[in-house]
Amino acid sequence: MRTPPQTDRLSEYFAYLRSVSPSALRVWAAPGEAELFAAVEGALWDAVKRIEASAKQHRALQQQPGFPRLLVQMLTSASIFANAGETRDGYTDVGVRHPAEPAYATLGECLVYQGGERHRAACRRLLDRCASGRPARGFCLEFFVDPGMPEQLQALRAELAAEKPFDQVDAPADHPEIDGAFVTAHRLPRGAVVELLHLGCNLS
Amino acid sequence: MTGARRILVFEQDEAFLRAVERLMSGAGMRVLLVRDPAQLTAQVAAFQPDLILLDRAAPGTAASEAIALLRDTRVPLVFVLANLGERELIRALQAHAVEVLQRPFGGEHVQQLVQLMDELARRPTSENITWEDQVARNFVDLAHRHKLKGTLMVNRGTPFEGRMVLKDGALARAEYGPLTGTDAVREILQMEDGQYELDASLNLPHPKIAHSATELEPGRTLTLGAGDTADVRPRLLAVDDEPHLLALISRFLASAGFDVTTAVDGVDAVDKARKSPFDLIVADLSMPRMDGWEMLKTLKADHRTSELPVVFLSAHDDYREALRAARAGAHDYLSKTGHSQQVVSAALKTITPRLETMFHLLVNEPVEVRTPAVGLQWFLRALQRLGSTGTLSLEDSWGRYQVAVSGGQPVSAQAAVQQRKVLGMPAFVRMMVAGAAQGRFVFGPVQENGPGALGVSMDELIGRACESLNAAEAKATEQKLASATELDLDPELYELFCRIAPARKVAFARAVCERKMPMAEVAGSLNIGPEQAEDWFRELLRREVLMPPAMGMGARRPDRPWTPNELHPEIVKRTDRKRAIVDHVRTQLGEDPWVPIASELATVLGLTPGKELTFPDLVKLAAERGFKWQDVHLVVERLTASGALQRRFMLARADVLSEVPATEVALRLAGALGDDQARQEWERWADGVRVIWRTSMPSET
Repeated sequence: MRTPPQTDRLSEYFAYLRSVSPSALRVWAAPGEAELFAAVEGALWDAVKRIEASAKQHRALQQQPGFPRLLVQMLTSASIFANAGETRDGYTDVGVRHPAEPAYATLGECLVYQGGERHRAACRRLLDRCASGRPARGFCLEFFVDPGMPEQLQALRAELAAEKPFDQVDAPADHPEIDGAFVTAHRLPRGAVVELLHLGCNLS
Repeated sequence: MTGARRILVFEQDEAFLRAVERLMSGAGMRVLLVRDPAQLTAQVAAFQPDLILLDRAAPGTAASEAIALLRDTRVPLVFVLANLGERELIRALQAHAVEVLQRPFGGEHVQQLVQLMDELARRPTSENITWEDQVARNFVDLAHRHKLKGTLMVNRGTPFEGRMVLKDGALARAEYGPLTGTDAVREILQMEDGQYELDASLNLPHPKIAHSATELEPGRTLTLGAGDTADVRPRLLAVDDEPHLLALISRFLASAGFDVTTAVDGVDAVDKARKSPFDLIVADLSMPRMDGWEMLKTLKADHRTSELPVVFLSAHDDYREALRAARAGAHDYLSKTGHSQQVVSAALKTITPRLETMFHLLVNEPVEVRTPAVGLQWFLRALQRLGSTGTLSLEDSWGRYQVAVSGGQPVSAQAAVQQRKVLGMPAFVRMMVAGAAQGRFVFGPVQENGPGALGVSMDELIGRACESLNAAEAKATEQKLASATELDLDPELYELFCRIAPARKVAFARAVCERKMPMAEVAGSLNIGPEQAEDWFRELLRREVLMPPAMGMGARRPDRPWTPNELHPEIVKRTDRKRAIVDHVRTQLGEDPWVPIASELATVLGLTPGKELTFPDLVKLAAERGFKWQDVHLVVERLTASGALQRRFMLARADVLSEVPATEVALRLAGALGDDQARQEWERWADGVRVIWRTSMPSET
């Protein structure tokens, strides 16, 4: 049980945020976009672990937009500016901003895992959203309500490695911190490369 | 200028309509006569009157329906009253009247209305003023207009006594609890069940209030000796879920001369109060199953128990809670932390008017009867207990009532209400609803077989009358239930209701007001009985959270100034902002517990630009409202992300007022994540910086 800050001081406030998400202060302190991506992904990983820890309780949601809301709740509780867009066809757009520097942001898609085709469609949506400029990295978070997440993520990775959809420039690479997650890079028509983090949240 | 003025007259009395039409048209005004309440909305929308004239006391439900329909219009209301008593005056003001006139309508009224319209036109149009403040202002303006003098008192002789002293139309003094001046005026005029007395007239003939000849001097209360009062000991119901406290309070009260019965919670208390009559209830506020608020409401909603005075005991000594208790109709509010003697004193003080009356009856003295102070049912039961014989005559602005009693049992009843004579049970029922009637009981023989013979016992008579009144109200509610989907929602009152009501009741209100669920379905999903659902629905109507369909006022003239009978545009704007915030939180985070927290935050902050909140504030708010502080913090962060709140970093030194940009905080923090020394420096610096959340300017959101 976390204790609330007893005063209005910044030191106590940040100590509390750190207790909610160890990555929260990294998000705050991120001096540039690259650092923000790394910090947000750390915060995402913190949030996913918290959601997985109480999977039984959250599994009841079973549908959009419950899961993206859960993610937004987790990030927001650590003072990270996260926003869930409208859910359309089972996909929910999510945006995460730097709390002090709004120009730095990253985008994501959240969906309940229903196979590789839908995952690729989510990637397509995300790349379209990134096509107009920033950010250079986004995430695609799948909520797995059925057992077998590691195997399914592996299969997904293998599919993307084989097909290299959406002008994927290379084979998927491991994420340095998040278990089972991988990163793909895609060249946009304007020439820029956008990286996508693919990760799963195991609710089974 | 008067040629352009338009007056809409709503009335069903043809003679009155013709008189008004003739006089007002003669003064160059355009007059529209409306007789049918069903036509009122459309007619107001089409005619766009500058003023609406209506009879507040029109028979049936026409007037109240009309007032409800006109509640949110822009048009000032002027009530025409047959009898101008203090009760009617206050009721008119509470219904947002700007002026009252007494029948018959004559030439002098035309001039009065012209001057009134000139006055209203001069009122500022851009003030941010609440409904309650506007009622207070209307009263002050009316007092000024009529050069009113004297004292308006509310709940005289009770701990919730308030008074306003007027001298030559000016407010010389106003007091209500710790409030004074216009704050006191506002609160006094908002008393839901207040008993008002006006010791003055509006320069118009109206009966002066008959004060009890047996009234005690200020500050003096009666004391009882248990032995002396064995036959007439006041019957008190003590209610508390903590057995040791209940035993303690009961012991003290019994030793002070009360015949004490105990109940363990609100449900038990209501049940016991319905089964046998009590003189007083002393109850805890926080109880399982049914708390004190709910109990009071249930008692007030049932004619069998509506006049039973309630004294609340609370673990908190909170002035706001005391005000809420007064508004809800409680007679007193005491902190549990006080001495037991205070409870005894409060109980005695509450029933002092009844004790006085009882003692006069004991010695067969004629008694002045003020039903607001003692209660009609109580008085009749007192006659029954003492086996008295005589005639009770009462009068109010609606009519005159008389009941003959022999040996404590009713013999006959007669009433003359609005030129109609009624006999027997119907007469008695009319007397029962005359809550403000006053008069006398005179001992002496009565005619056994006269007109209006009743032929039932006192208990049966009161029971039947209550049943009949409860049934009539239930029927009216049923009719409204049938057309529930056609009712309009008052967002401000709805929000307030959701803030103060218990969670289940809020869930009920949401289901009815937002999801438009049928009543049976709501009752089923909340696992409550149909009676409970009906009761809660009635409360939504009584609190005007739900109202009959509002005006089709889409085509309002944009250049028309704001007038007192509508919500101020700023309030509407604020309501819209609150709704936007709640909707945003609902979309982003889901329903529970986020939406109630967002609604609470929006209300607490009032969304006035520049209001501040710190972390300890939100922890305190969470504790007070029963939320988890982490959840409140999360909603605060959510509102910060959306822009409704702004997170600011301020240097904490008292001699420096300086804001630290968030980018500087981020930069310093980035440096601190490097090594230990940098971290210590950061800690020192961060100890000197405050974090606050501030409501944004509208343009910032």
